[in-house]
Amino acid sequence: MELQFWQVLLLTVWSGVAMLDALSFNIGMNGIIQTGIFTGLVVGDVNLGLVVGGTLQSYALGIGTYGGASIPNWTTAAMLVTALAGGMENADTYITLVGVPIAALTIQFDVMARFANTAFQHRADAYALKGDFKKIELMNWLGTIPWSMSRALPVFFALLIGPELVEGLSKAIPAQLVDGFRIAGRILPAVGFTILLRYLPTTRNVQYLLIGFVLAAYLSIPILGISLVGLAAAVMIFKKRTEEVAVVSGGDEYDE
Amino acid sequence: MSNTFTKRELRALNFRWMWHSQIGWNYERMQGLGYLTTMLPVMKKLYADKPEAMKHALYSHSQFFNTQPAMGDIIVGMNIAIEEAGGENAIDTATAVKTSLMGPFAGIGDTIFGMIGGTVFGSIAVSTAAEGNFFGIGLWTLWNLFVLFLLRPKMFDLGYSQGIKLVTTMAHQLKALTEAASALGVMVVGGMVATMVNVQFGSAKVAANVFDFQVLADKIMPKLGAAALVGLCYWLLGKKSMNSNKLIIVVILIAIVGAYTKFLIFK
Repeated sequence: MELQFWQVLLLTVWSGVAMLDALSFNIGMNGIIQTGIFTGLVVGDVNLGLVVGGTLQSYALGIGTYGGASIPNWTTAAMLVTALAGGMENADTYITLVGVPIAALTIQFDVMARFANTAFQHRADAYALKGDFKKIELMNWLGTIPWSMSRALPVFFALLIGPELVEGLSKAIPAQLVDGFRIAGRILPAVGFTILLRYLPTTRNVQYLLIGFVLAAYLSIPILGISLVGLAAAVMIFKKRTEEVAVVSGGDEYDE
Repeated sequence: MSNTFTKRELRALNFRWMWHSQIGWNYERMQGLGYLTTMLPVMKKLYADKPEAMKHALYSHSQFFNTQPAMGDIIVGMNIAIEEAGGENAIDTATAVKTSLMGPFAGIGDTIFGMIGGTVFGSIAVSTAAEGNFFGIGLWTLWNLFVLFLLRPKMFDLGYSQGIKLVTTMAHQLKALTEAASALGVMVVGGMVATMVNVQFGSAKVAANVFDFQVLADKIMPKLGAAALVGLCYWLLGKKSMNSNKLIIVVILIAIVGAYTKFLIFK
């Protein structure tokens, strides 16, 4: 979709500000679904934004930047796919076809921001020796520039040159491959869930995995209902574990 | 000037941490610069007329620091309480406490916040978004606001009021909470595998007979394809040479080959 300059600008600014929100207050502006919805509002197709955001979010459930690791940038992908595929036929094909490479290619910008900020760290060290409070704080504030630019710049340039690329892509790609990418869009959430299962203590909790699967597959209970069953299980576990501790420490007192 | 912090000052310090903790994040000191910046008003108040103590504090608070930001609220709260009570003699204690807590707290925080936010609210948002419904994402946003305005201030206050005592009293509860949250997360993932992974088998013609693989699979159990695919991915991700980015490529290749051979179809 051909974009107006004000749309490009608005999406660029949002990307930069949303990144700062993700680092600090985290009201969710940088969320994959939220970014999809906002982009949909800007380009006039909110439902596409919601679906694109929801699909890409399912590839990346529960993935956070734990310990400062850089991860595929699904947020930028959600914005670009929604903005570029808006109004096109078979827009869902592009979620995977365009979204996956964007998410992978933009990882590097995150690395660059984290690296650029070491320069401010060194200046801050010098100001700390002098006891210059204002300058120390300024150095920390300056970190917002690499952070926001790492998201805003790729969005800005991709939105400027992207429409022609996506247009060309839609002509060049054979029909058989289109079907492949649409199927990929349907089965890729498996990767997100697998990463989660590898991160969680799954082997100790395999019984809960089975309960959740059976509730959904055989009984078709919506995910909110399954969460409530999970919450019930969690409360039981929490009570049991804290009682165990109480009993043990109670025993200690008795010995004394 | 008094040497204790008012409620208002403490609240301001808490939000100061929330904002500054990661905007200066860098590979060398990670949240160290944010920690130092957060503590500046504390140092100003406690050591304004003690140049040696000030130097010591500036040096100590510049050190490497990294934890899950919400768990950092507890640590910053504790640190302020320790230095407020013990003055310059307590700077080393505060440093030892924050350094020893950041690792375990990061692990707990990533599990609890990453799990509840990412898995449970994320799953509800994903499955409702697929139907063009905003309910899930609204619920997730409410959770984010709850964490920001109620939970994190509460955690900061807990750290400040309990100080070092907290480490022993909370250790058991946090462990129990992490275990409980893990069970919840795993159950939700089990449900999501069945609802969000959409494997549709096609059919094959052998001589005059048409085999519809989907019908065969459904006879064994519903969502067999989803369970098999996640099982395969789980096994693959356990291999040393495999990572999540490669796994995405593998799954895309499975889809393309599946579409080409008509073993998988889009429906």
